[in-house]
Amino acid sequence: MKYAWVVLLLLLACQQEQETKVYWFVPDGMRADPDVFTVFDWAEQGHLPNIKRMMGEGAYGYSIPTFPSHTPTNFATLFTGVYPDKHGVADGPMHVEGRPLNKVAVGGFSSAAKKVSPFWVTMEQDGKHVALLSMPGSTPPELNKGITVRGRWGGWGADFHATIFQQEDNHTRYERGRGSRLFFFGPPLTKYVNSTSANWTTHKAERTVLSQYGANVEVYVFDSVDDEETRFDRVSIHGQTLAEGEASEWIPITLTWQVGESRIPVETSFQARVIKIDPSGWFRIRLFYNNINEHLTKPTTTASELTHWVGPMVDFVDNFPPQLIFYPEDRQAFLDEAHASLDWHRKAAGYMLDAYDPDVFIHDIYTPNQMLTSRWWMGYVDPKGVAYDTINDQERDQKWQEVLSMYKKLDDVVGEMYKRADDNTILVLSSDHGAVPLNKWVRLNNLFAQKGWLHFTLDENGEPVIDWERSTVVYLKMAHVYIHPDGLAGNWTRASGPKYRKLREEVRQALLSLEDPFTKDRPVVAAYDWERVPQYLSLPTDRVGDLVVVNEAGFGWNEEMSEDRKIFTTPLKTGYKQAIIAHHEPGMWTPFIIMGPGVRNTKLEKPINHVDQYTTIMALLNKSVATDGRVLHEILE
Amino acid sequence: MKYWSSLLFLLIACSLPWLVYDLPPHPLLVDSTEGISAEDARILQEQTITGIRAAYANELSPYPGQLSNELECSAEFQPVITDEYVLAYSTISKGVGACTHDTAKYRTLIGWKYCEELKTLYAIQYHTPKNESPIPFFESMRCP
Repeated sequence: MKYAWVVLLLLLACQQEQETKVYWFVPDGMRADPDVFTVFDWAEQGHLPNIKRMMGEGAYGYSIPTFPSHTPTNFATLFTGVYPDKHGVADGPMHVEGRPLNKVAVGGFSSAAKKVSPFWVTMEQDGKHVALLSMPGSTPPELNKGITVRGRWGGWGADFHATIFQQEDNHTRYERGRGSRLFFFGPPLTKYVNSTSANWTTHKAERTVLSQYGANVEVYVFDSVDDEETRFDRVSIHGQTLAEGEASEWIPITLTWQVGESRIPVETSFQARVIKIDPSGWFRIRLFYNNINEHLTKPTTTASELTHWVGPMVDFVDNFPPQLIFYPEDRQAFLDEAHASLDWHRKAAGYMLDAYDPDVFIHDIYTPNQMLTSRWWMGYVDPKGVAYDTINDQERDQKWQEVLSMYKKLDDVVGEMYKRADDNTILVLSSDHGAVPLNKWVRLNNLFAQKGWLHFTLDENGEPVIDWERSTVVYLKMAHVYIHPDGLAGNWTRASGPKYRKLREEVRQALLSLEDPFTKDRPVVAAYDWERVPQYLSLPTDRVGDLVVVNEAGFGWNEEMSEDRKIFTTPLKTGYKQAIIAHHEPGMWTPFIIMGPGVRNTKLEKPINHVDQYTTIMALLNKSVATDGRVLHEILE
Repeated sequence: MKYWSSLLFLLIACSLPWLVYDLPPHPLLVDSTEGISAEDARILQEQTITGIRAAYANELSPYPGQLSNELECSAEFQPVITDEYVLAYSTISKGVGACTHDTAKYRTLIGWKYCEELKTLYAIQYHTPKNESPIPFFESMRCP
């Protein structure tokens, strides 16, 4: 029996020597289109040398995301080769029959949302050694032998989010309200603190304590100049002195991870960044916590290895809702953090490929999405942004340089993979979606309230309280309107019958006739009945609302309800990507570049669909699979 | 070179004592950690259990809004946690966290057997169809 194992292993060893590797880099929100974000031209001009090399050796073109054009749906589509009506990830927050609408039943970023096994699981089952870095949809971990380094918002592990501490200011706190908490509900991403007069050595100072995740950090804001005037200009933290715009070295800290009744200490580190100090002593300080620890990697040892050899992890910049959008100084803080994340990911890619030598390495970074949907860039660089003409050419050039610097650093990450790829490696660069300007928010729930379909009041904190019994229509993110003529309370079940169909049609007409009072633009492209979504949007019928609403680029739906029932509002952020049919919106397109054994050097004449990528890669691996995509024969040798 | 070292490892492993169990009718994965004390074994076990608890805790919804802000896994799909194992529903990929009927494909047991004499902790994953129980098989596994 033992010798049978020997023979088997020898055969496997021989076969492994010829097996193909796959390195697949999927930066989130990496827009590429023929008109504005002309990534292939930038590469030809020498700005993106590694991407240029890939173009010169492989095949390249544009790829179109599937509706609703955002991350969870498109990562599932890219890595299963089927549309949402098969893989099940119809959205980020999903509701199902039998569960109340006031709670989300399925989170689209969780690995458990998918009804089809993803590429990485298939590859591991095939005997390949797989490593994943920051991949949406990869956690809770599905790999047994492989390496999973955190996912994103998959509900797994001890995630300590960067926090801004700002001098108490009642006006600001009231204005921001829930927008200062992670996801409007979770741990605060901005905390308002008070300080007390003190001395820092011989300097006049204000002392404050920054408390988050069970740890306290003592900080002195002080006047460094010994003159008659008191003008605060420095911050002292853990023996380091920082001026405005400066960041500290990484400082060890023990945080507390609360799971139910358990409080688990986590040894980690943080970096302090002084975003702003006012001479009066008003301050805005950001504490960024190492984005990996033993609870966020599988195996657990990977966290300490990465922290030791690469450095504390800066996974991506800012968060949701964005915090680095309120003050002019936030822009530089954003850029610094974005570059730190890109640098970390470049080093991590190289380290993981060298140290773990995976057969399959799949890597994501969220930073491009964060930048292009932030306040500071998209609306000013894309001519379709209403902010485009509010700056001069020199200012726009500056913004373009900043965007290009981000793409250059993505190219650097590609370079780490490129130089380690051999003749048996398939190297792929693609992305889940692009991004377009966001000019107006549309508060659909205020529309429904105006029509008498949605009933709510506001509590003492300004939070809406829905009367679910009386309400018959509600909008829930990202693109769904739920309708029941008998009310929406309790466990939701799909309605039917003439009364339902009549109400649904009234809602559809109200949506289609909605018009921005200033521009006269209509935000709704289409509102599809749930029965029709497989045909028109490739969505599953059991994870969508009664109507699925497609928006025109430039508009974005949100759930916000307000006393004034105002429908159209102006957002602070200037980029967006949700609920858009991407086929006719090139700003939503992404690059697709592939090189390696079996791939010929060519340019794709027309954009492909995301489902085609998995299908083609599996064909290159000589795997026959049932997908919704086609094999791109035009790029095969 | 690495394949020869894998071969050598396998030959050595085949000659070492291993957890005893009948041929499993469903997918089974057993990993071992050798040279570990009972105390450290307990810590490893707790770490895994904590991670699973966290995955099922009510948490923030992705892309949240004023209404869609809390994700909840209903009681029906919450894991059963004992001192020896965690019983959960898993997906087609055999990953835990399935919270709806359409994603729950397997009844998965993640369990541990610590063999004091060998100072070895065996971590077990056993996946049965969701209408079967993996517990009897797990309970039949014993130290050599």
